[in-house]
Amino acid sequence: MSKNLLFNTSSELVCIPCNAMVFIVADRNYSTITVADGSEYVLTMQLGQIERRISEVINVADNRFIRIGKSLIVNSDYITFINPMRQKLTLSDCRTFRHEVSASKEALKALKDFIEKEAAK
Amino acid sequence: MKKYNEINDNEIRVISSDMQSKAPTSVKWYKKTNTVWFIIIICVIIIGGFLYGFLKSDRHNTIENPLTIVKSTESDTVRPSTTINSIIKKKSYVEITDTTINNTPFSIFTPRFAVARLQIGTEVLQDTAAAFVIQAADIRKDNGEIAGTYVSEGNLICKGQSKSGFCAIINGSPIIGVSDATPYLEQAIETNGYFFRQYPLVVGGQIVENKPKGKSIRRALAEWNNKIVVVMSLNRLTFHDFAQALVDMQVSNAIYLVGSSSSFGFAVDSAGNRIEFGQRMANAPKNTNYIVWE
Repeated sequence: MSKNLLFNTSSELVCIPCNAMVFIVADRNYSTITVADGSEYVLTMQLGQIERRISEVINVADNRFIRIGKSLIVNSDYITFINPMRQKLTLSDCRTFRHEVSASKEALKALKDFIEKEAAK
Repeated sequence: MKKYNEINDNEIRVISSDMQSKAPTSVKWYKKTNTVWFIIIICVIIIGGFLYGFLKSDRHNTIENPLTIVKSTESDTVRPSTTINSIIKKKSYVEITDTTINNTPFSIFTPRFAVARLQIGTEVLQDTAAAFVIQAADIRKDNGEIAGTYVSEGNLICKGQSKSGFCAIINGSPIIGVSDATPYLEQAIETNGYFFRQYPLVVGGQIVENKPKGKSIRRALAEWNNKIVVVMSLNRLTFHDFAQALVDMQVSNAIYLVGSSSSFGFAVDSAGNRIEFGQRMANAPKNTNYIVWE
């Protein structure tokens, strides 16, 4: 059963099932979570804080969530395309949504290698 | 084990629950310690509040300070037991808080230990003593004059009533309101204060609709939690959406300040860092005017 990520401010509460979280991108003191239904939630949290929150919620064997560089966390279940040379990463459920994000060549190369190793297991 | 924020852009890291157990302290100990610290912080805040209240009420009592002696105006003789009131002015700064309202990012600027005034002209942007400078009243496009009634140091600079919102600065403290005619105008003139007019956004916690359309970076001077703050949108919003966000934030009253990304200003935080916003225009109109906190 998927656990929920909970974020609250003085006036709002955001509660997202882990398996619905597609990716999180950070911009200075703000982070935007993109969810599988297309919604986006802006939080006044840095990515490190969100990373910690995720680590507190997920199971021991869960290694879906990958931090890429300083400003991106992705749910690897939704990774459909990686091109390190063009610095492109596509996240999609192959039905209803598709997002393109960017990261450094080195990080995407490391991500590609990691996913290839995981698939080979 | 790297800390959560120690990662460079060329690295990736799988987030696992092991990160928690590999942290310097175990989960249970961390959670328990967290609760203890929370209780300690609450106690410190309560004790600090009592002490502050006690010291504040005691400020009006005469204080005997053997190290600082003030000469009496009646005599040149310095009396060792002269009672004095020593007032220490704390350095003014701006507390900047980032928040989200209705899923939209905002910044809240709260001037601390600062006195407000209005100033015309862009020279104030070089003022190193100012803690917070932000544009106030609009400039008329037809004649370059300030839109609406404007008072500076008790002098009536111009008169007009294009907008019903106003800000009067009396004895360094801004007062926000909505009224076509207000006694605060006369009070500003009589007490060498300041006054300007702007679009009202929130009155008594209720949204005020305004005519201007379109989206832009929006700024407001607002009463919030019994403080005067400036709220700034980081995204371009309509007047309505901005005012709605202020209402949702539980602002009591708010008036508009000149917005858009071209409206330049700055704030100095508690560490002395100058944070600039907007774009500095090379040929700003000569009547460009600002609220200055110093």
